[in-house]
Amino acid sequence: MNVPYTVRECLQGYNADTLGALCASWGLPARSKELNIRSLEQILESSTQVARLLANAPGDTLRLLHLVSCHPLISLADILSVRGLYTGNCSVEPLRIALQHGWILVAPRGSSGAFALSDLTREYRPNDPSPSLFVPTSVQTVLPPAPDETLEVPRVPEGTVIPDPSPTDWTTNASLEFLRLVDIVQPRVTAGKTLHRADWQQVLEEARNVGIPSESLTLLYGILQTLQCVAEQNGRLVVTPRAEQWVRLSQSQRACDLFQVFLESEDLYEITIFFPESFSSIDAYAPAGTLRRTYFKKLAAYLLSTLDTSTWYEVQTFVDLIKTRDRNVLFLEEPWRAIQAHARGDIAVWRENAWRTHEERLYQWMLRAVFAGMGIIQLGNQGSVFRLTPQGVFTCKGAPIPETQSDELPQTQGAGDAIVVQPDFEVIAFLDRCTPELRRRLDAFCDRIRPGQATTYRITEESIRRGINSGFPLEGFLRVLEEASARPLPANVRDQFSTWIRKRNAIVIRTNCKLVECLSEKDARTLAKNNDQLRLIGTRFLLCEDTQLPHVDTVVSYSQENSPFLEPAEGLQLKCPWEKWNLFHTRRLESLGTLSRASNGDLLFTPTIDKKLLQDDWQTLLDELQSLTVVPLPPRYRTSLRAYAEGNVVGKARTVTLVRFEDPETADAVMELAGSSGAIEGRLGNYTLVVRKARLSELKRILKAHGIRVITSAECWDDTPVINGESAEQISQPAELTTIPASASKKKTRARSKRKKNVSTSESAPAPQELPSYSTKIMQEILEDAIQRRRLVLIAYESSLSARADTRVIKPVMLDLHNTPPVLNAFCCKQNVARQFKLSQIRGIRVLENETF
Amino acid sequence: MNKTKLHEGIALIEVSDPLLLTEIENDPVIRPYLGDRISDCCVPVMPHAVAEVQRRLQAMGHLPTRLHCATAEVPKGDQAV
Repeated sequence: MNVPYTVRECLQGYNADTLGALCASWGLPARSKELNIRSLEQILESSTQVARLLANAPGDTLRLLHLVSCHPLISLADILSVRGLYTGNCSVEPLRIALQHGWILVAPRGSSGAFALSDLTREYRPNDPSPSLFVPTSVQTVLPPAPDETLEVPRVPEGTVIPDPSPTDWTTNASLEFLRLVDIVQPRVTAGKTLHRADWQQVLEEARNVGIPSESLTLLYGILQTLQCVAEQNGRLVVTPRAEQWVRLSQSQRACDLFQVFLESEDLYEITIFFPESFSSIDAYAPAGTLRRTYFKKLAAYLLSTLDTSTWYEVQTFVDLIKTRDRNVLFLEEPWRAIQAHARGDIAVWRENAWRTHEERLYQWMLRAVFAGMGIIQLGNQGSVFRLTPQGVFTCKGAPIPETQSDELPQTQGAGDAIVVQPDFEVIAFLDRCTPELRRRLDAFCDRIRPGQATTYRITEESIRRGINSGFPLEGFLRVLEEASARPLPANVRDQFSTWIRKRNAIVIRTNCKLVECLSEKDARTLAKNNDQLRLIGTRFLLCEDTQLPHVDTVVSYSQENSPFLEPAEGLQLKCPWEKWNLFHTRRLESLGTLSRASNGDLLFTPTIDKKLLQDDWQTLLDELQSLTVVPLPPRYRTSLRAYAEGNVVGKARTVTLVRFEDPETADAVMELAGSSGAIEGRLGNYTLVVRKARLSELKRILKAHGIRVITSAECWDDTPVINGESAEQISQPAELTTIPASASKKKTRARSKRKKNVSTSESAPAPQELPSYSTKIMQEILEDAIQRRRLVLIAYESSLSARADTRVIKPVMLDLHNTPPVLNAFCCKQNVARQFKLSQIRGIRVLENETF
Repeated sequence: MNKTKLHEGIALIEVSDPLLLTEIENDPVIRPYLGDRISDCCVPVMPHAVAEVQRRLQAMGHLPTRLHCATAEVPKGDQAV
């Protein structure tokens, strides 16, 4: 799990007392804050030292570390609220130990101030800003496995239990039934992403026929959605190809998947049933994305995993165990729960009653319906006792797949006489003898004609097509029919199947292929000869039939459609480098012009230049070319296409005398001089005047009278920055022209271009990123340290001109704390100028430790 | 050895008879989704259009097989050259 902050960045957000406590834990002498941070940083980044101390860490602290390390950042309030998952005692103590040793770090808290250990004892409400925690990488890498917790739970003697004859795989079978029902009904999905009521009713009705209650169906729907076995497609709920893969997993693996998804599911379906009055509050106090949301399920699963294998326990004892572990699992001890329930009298008595009415029933249902239904536990004595099954040990404790079930694949066929296939392509299926999988296949590949205990199906080409779309192979379906039928299939049915299979093999659509292309035929042949997993297709292509790819120079991805690919080339040509062009680019271009291939494999494209063709729609062609080009098309393409199409683009030539001034103001003034209008013909841009033929001497005389000299210059004529409206008029060719050297202007331009250059080459344009944020006081300490050590600093700064924080690299020079508000004087590497930054507007900061100035 | 390029995630149609490919290429619905033939019996298809192409082929009376990855086997004799 990647951590977002460095150890130093986190420690900088701690207050001095907390840093002192950390130093004391590691036996370090307490010194200044900066020195403490430096010493702790060295220790915490050394895996050897961390591992040495972790070996003696208490069990509940290790369990806590494992829990926190599964998340990039987790809030303090959240982790304290799920104490049952790591300790049976006080939730704060393991956390205090982990924080004091730096095994868990607190992320920078922005404007909330410095972190203190006393924050652990604060009471946090759902929307309160609570410190974010994470386990640093150096700790994650050496984290020892969490020890198993042993709980004292009274056992039931073996001889007194009569196991219930419940099927151990009910839930997985029910999920297969659900997939079948989705295949049949394909319920509509409304704009609100819920299933259409009428269609859902139909699914419920069909489910009742095969013995699945509506509650289970709702739960299964959520679980299979999370497993991506069903998804919305074109406004209907359909079974996805992922379902086919999932169905082919072993029974144990499927049950394990269902169990995990059930635990992670955040929809609180159970709460709506058992806590109808408190649902909205529980929903608000256990927000989505937090551990608290699924705590009530995970706590039961965790406690289940601490039980001995194959030992019988009473259901009631287990529910009491949950209560002992954390009675507040569903907010029973929160005042709002009692207020909502209008509790009167002794609050302790009310809590006892509320537990029996709500929590106890919920957990009894969870054990008897969900865990037993998934085969995690086996019930006995009519549901009053239970024990972990081998499947439960595999699912909860991560033991190897149970031997009895490891090779068991889903049964697709039923008994040998489950169906009868007739010569008229009708199939009679006796539902009591069919497995859910066989029923699903029949529903996928056949049309259902008559429902009932002996359901009649008909095989048609259309139904076969539909079945093929479901992803199951036709050969597989034929095999299923043969195995489930007592008699051999009629000859005509078998012949027809052979025809369909032949037709299927005539066209193969391969998706997600890896196709290697060589520049030459010889290379392709050599590559195919040396690699058995590459199949030569045509002359230059090789299809990779293995997951291991040969070395390739470049990869072309097809994940993005219609992205631009052309680059301007010589003249009006455009090119696509060989490394970039894909197999559809030529088709896109063939209607727009002619294509050729260069010797290095590049694709060269020349747009069609035909006056008749271009006359009406040269603009359309230009737009199309622009959409295919990765950079803006240079103006020559537009001009050239317009010139070819309209034929009225003419360049007019003439020799004139020009006078150029160093600033626009002088040019303006000269235009206004008395008598100058007779000598000046016009103006080119802001700086340059056009002199009338043979009137230069007259103009010189007028200017001389005003103290302006005119000299002849052969220097490069124009280096002025482009000003709006001027670019089209600017003359770029130096000639025998009369000019006034614009030295100052040149200097300015050079400075500007240098700055521009620096902007493009400097490191000061990092990608927007999440930088640690601190209070102004901590920020001030960090900056003082950076100034002292001459380190570059990356800041996210929200200037008063923009609402968005801009990330830039700065060289901090001096803090001006007497200014109101306090500011930092620094050199901005992005703008290449000195700048002042208000401390209150720095939204994030990171010292670049390896970069000095 | 000159440069090599990997087309990753591309979809291909392989047929047993080049005439069949000609028929497919001449179909106005499918044609926009196809690239240039890479052999007599093989043509690339835009990955996002596979479902549409498959539907159209079925509407034309074919029963195309769809294989998700390149590791699956094609029956002997039906392989593209």
